[in-house]
Amino acid sequence: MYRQHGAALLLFASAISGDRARAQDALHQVFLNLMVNGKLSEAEDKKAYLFACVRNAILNDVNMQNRNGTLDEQAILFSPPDRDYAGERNLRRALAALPADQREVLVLHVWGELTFSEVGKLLGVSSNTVASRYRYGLTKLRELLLAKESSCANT
Amino acid sequence: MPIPDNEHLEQFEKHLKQFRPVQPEPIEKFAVIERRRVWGPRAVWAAAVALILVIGAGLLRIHPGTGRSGKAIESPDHGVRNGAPSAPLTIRSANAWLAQAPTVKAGIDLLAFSSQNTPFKNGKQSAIAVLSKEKIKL
Repeated sequence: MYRQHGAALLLFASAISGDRARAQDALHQVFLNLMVNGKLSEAEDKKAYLFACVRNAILNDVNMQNRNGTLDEQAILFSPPDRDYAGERNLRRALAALPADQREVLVLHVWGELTFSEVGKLLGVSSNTVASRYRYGLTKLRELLLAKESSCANT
Repeated sequence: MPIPDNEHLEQFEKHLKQFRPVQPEPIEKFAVIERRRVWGPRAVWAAAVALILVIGAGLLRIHPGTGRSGKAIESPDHGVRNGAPSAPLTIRSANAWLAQAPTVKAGIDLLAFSSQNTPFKNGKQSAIAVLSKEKIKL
C-alpha cells in the first residue's frame, strides 16, 4: 500500500500542510499506526481511508494548525515527463498559487484518483461542491500555466 | 479569458497526470516491523525444531543402542572384565573404576587391558583390523 499510494499520499499531505518534511513524518506515522492497530484491513475503501488518515494526521498536528494555508512551492515535487523540468516548476508554482480548497480537491482527484463522491465524503462536503471546486481549480491552474508559458515564450 | 470547455479541461487533466508525484522516503521503522512480522514466526519454528533436536539427542543418550551398552565387553585375551566400561575411557570413568577395584594394582591392570573397541555390525570391520591383514612391504 505504501509503495502503491505513497507518492499520491505524500503529495496530498504536502499540499495541505505546505511542508514536505512534516508531510513525510505524518505519512510515516499514519502507516506505523496502521501497522500496529491493523485497522486498514477493516476499511472498505482502503485508498480513501488512507487519504482520510493522512488528512486527519495533518489537521491534528498542532504545528500545522498555526499555519495560514500557504504552500511553499518546494513542498510538492513531481517527476516530469520528457525531462520537462521547466513545466514541472511552473506546475508547482501554479499549484501553490491556487486557493487551498481547490488545490486539495485537484490533488485528490487528479493524482489521488479519487472520485468526486469519495472526495466529498473525505472533506465532508457534497459531490457537487467538489465538482465545482475542481472545475474552478482546474480552470485557474490552466490559466496560470498558460500565462507562465506565454511569458516564458516572450522572454 | 474565455472559459475552457470540457474537452479542453479533460486534455489538460491528462497533461497533469503525466507529472507523477515523487515517491516518499522508505520508513525505517516500517521495515523493522516488517522484518519482525516475517522473521518472528520463522524464529518460533526454528526454536521448536532446535528443541525437538535437543530432546531427541537427550533421549538417544538415555537409551543408547544395543551395540553401545554400558555392560561389560568380552575380551578374547582377558575374558570378561566385570565393571569395565565400554565407552571411551575418561578421567571420571577411570576414577569410578579404580574405586570399585579391590586393589590399586588390579584397578590399573583392568584399565590397561580393557578393550576400548566397540563392536561392529555384521560385515563391517575396523580400519586397524583391515590394515593388520595387509602385507605391507616397507
